[in-house]
Amino acid sequence: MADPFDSGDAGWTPISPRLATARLLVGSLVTVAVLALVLAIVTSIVATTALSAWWLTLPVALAVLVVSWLAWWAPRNRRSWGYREQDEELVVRCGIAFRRVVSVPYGRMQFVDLQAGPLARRLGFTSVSLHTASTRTASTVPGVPHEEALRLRQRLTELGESRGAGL
Amino acid sequence: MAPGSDHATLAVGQRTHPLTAVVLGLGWSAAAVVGLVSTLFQDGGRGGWGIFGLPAAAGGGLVLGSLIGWLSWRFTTFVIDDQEARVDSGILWKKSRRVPFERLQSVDIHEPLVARVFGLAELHLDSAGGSESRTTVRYLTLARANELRALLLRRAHAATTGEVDSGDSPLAAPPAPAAAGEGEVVAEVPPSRVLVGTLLSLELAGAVIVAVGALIASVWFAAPVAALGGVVGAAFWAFQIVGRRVLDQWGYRLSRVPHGLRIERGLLSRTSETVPFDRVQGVAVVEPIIWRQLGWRRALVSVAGTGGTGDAGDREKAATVLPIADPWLAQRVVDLLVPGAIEEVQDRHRSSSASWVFAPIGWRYRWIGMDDVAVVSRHGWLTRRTSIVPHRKNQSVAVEQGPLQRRLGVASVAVHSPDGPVDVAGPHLRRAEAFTVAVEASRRSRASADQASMRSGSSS
Repeated sequence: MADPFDSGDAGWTPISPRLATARLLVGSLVTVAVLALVLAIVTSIVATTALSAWWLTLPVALAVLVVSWLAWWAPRNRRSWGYREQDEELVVRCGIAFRRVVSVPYGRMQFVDLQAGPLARRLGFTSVSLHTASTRTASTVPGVPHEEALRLRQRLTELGESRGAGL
Repeated sequence: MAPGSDHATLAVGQRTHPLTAVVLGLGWSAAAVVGLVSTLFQDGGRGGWGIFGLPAAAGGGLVLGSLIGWLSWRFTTFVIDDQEARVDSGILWKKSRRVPFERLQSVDIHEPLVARVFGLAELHLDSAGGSESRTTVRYLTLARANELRALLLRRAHAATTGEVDSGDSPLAAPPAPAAAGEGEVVAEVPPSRVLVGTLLSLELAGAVIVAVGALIASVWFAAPVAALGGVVGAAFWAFQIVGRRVLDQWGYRLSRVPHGLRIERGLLSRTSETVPFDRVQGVAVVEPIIWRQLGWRRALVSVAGTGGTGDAGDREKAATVLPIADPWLAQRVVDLLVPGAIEEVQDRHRSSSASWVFAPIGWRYRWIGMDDVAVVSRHGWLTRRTSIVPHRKNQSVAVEQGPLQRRLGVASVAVHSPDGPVDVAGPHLRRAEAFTVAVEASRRSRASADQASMRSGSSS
């Protein structure tokens, strides 16, 4: 792991761009739902009091801001994720503002979890969690393409068994 | 002796000691008496019981409690066979808890005060993971508890060494001593030492400062009643700190038993725990500022499977392997738990001076380093804490950097070990240094894992 914060994308396996799509989609839907609720409340206040109808634009503007931030953040965050299968360990990197690189030796992995919700299944990606005996390892790679996730788990399990050193 | 005291064949379900009914009964009785008496008072004596109310409630509670105690004893059995220990209990709702030997982490003997009066003890079986991982067998005679513990530990050791490599365990398991107090004594901490240590502890100093502060404030504001409240509160707090420490750590004895260290402690309730060598994940040495002047320190150990339960104080208590000791003794215990490890490693990486914004005073006292045996880190100036994790227990390594750290050109490195009091980390090192440390720590961790697997390959 030679200064992976700046080493560019070479050598890192990226995750599915659809993760960004999914995050944007879910984020937008939640924002729209919240917006609808807030608009309903503000409308009723405007209808019953002397409050100016211009106040209705404020939640709309906020919602637009949130969605456009999401549209900017989601692909960037997606690109920041990557992992690297080295000879003896899996290295995972993530984050732009708060960056983190974790190196997990294959032999220390206790088990590997795959998890995919309904939307992720539709879009064909899965999140892969690596568990060691320490909870601080906290390594979950979101948005790994489904086939790749299965292959990764298989490989990690095999490597873990051949290199396992126990607790 | 309990029914079925023949310990060679334990495959048949056995009962615990009959006096269990009495001890459990006393506990339930106390609860029942309190309950009945309090309803009596709520009633305001209008139930027509008058003067007979109180004894009637107390007597009823006793009968009720004893009955519950007797029933719960009657319906509890335990089995120890070749693969597992099992405890079946429950009168209406049957509960069966099984502990496979290969998952058994430790067996402790605890003598709560009431049980101890009757010469009884309970057996705690801890298995890896979760808060529900403790199984209790209560109560047995102390001798029998010791006997069963030796048996369980032998079988657990055989199960783990037979199936999973446990690193550095010897090939053959020598027979474990049956009775308590056998084995080479490593350290005995006299109660006077614990008392003096507690009197000089930062917690007590805090309580005293609060008391004095309350006194001064009340004189200033001329409010004597408030002063009394503050002082009494703080005094009670202080008394509790001293009392609990002294009671818990009375007659503290650390001794060496096959495959581990045994801790025996307590004045009213007595506890006897074992720290198995092959479950040790790391060691920490804690030196509060007052103790440091006198060269005293405390040693904590992190053991797989016991990290998650209780509050912070309880965890710290459970992890204490040496409550107060001189440096040479602490070093000896560290060396027993992590062979070859020392605190003062040569190759050190200090936190960068640019990181003073994160810790204006503390940054000077932080470093991470390593030698052939372990990764070591130190931090803290009021309470200095040195954490030691042997390379072969290092689970993973991470480097992290937030936006501010990025501007300052620093990054933090963390060595992950199972949850416990030991936390090896190098906060805010210069960025290139952080990566150097991370790479070196992973490399050594790998190398030690290779060694361990080679050793187990040749030995099994």
